[in-house]
Amino acid sequence: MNRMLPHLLLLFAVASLACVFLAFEGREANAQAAEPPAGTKAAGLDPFKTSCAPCHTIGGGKLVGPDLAGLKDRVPSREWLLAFLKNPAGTNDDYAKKVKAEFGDTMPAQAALGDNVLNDLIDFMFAGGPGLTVKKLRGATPEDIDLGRRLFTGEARLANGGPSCISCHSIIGLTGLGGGTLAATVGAKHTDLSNAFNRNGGEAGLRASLASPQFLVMKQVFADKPMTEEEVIALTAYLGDVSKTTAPPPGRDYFVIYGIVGAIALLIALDLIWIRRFRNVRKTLVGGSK
Amino acid sequence: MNVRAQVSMVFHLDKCIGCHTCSIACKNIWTDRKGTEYMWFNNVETKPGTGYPTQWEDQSKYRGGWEVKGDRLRLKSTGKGRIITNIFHNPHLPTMDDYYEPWTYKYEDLFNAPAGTDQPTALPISKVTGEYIDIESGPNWDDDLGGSNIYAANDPNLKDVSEEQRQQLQAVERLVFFYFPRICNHCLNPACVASCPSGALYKRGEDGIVLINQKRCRAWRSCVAACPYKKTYYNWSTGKSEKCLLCYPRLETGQAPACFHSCVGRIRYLGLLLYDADRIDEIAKLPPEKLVEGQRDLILDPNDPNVIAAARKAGMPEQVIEFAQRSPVYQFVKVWKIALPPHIEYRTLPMLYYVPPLLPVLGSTANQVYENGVDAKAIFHAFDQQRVPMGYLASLFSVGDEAKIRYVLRKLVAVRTFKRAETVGDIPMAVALEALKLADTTEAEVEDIYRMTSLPTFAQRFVIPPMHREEAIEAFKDPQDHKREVGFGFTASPKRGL
Repeated sequence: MNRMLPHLLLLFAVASLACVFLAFEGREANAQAAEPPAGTKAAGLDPFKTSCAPCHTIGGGKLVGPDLAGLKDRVPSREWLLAFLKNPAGTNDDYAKKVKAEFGDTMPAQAALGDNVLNDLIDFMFAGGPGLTVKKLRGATPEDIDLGRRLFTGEARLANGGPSCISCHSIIGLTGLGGGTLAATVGAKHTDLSNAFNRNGGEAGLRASLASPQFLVMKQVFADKPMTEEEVIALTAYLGDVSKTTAPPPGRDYFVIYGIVGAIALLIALDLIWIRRFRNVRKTLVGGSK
Repeated sequence: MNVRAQVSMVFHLDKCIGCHTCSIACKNIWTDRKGTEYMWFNNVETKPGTGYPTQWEDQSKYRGGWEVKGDRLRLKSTGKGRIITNIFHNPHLPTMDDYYEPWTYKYEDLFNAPAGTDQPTALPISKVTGEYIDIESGPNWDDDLGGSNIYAANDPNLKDVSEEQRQQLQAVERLVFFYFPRICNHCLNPACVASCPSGALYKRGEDGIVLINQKRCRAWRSCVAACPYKKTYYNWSTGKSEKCLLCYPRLETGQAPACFHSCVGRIRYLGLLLYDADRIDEIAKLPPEKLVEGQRDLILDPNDPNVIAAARKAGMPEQVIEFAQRSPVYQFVKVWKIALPPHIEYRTLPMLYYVPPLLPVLGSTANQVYENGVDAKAIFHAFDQQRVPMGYLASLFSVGDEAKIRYVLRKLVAVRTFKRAETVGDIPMAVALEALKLADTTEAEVEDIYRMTSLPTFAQRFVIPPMHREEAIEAFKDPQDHKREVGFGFTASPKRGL
């Protein structure tokens, strides 16, 4: 018995600890998800990829926005950067003016991310982007242009189930009926040069925009259904190609004409389907006798 | 044999004076509410004429009633499959213009008009919109103001009448008309009941009255299109359809329906008919020329012991059988065979019968002596010379078979001839008896027809059976409680929707 007692106590202690561990396990798991252990991955990596990488690289050259390598030494102060991230349009000191003069006043406000995430991001950028690898996408081929056109019009479906571009966008001269009108006309070079390819910083910028859209609606639509790399390459190639060709001058609005013709055809069809329907008896009778 | 009882009716058109008292009695009781202004559960039409709604008899337009397709009966207007495409817009509904836009007059103008050089007038205003309207038609337009060159000339029953006879009808000296009062026929094979997608219409088991359940009606209006007699109406205010209910609350308390009760000419008879419900489908599919006889076959002899036994077996109360034996309708339809169904070619087997009218012939004066028709000596005219062509009456009452109309008219003339010989004596009895033989009748039968036509008492015209509602109510609640709980008017007023 004397020999067994320590073993029993040990067993009891282990069992108790196990119970306590199990009881807190759920909480610990949650805590782990929120704060990854330092050293494995920088806290700012994921937010950078989703929110910054479309327009910025760290050491990869400038896209829509400036290359952020050496940012720590360039900006006036950490506080300035935090304020600028929260409200770029409202920051108008000398340095901000200089940046805007070079890249335009297009930086979207990131206040919605919250101070914690923004601080993580600043840490990440100041540290030179540890763990950030910029994947170099392959160059576009002529086949990509055709695939891109079919992806745009919906002849080919997007692999992850995202809606085809034509649902909301159109390109002048693409199809008879044109595309959706929810978003602006893209791509084709028309009166001004504000076509998608040029507007989004050329091939690299457009690719980044498509891979991780920052536009208010597109961001939500494609959040769960991102485009694949091949699709991004193809669409970019297609939009690039479209931007080189000159669209036909804005002509008739075919949508309205098709609509009127279609409505007339439908009315004729309905009349024929219900050709034996009841028609006014008394008026016909009296009218026919006058 | 599946014996059922049906409250049936006979209208004796020879006695109708076209006073519209029936229509007014009905209107005051049932259709003086908002949304029912245009409805006439009872209306009196002037024939030849197009009726109400205009040309309702033309089923190539209104598509009411049944047709035989293969060996099946199907509705002309709709069906289980066809209704799917038409349920939200029924393409066969009459418009308000085909009925008429109900109106009243702005009577206060007669009193409030400022002093002026002319008489104040009460302008017509629509009862639907409240705006001033130009009255273009009414429920008895043929009668009151109608241009007969339009309305009478386009009576659908004239389609089989020769062009010559049509021309003669339009000649002023030959103008002729008779009245045709109509209510719901409470058919044995009702198209309205069959067409209802909601199952809101039903034929009461104990007396065959066809009703619309105001709680189940969903305003699909299939019944309006399907009824070939256009006797279901849509109430635009409550969003429910309504129809003649044969004043069942009056019948249940032993009173005749209001239109029957108020009839000035005493043209209306009401009583039970027993029929074999198992044969309805078979009879309704008969070829058109056999329909009149077929429907007469369907009616059972209430004095036949086999029928009585079958009726008892089916649970029919003893009193109902007794009342069926005394029914005047049975005499008119089955014994005397002088009452015919209107437009039985619609195959709904209507249970309202008409005694076709003996109409005047063209009179003339020669040498200052009045002559009617061909035979100057005949006191009663030869009905083949009457101004309304026989083909017209045949189109109304016997699917174009003139022989059936002649049979009835010959009997009606025989009754007159015999009674004239008996009471006045200016016709030799031998001639009268010859007329009886020709008319396939006997002295006894003629006497019966005469008594039921000319001298019937209230109780002989309306043989209203005890309805035994308490037995039907018993299935749901204590009849005594029910009696205390129901009052006048709606217990729950009909509302749109569910």
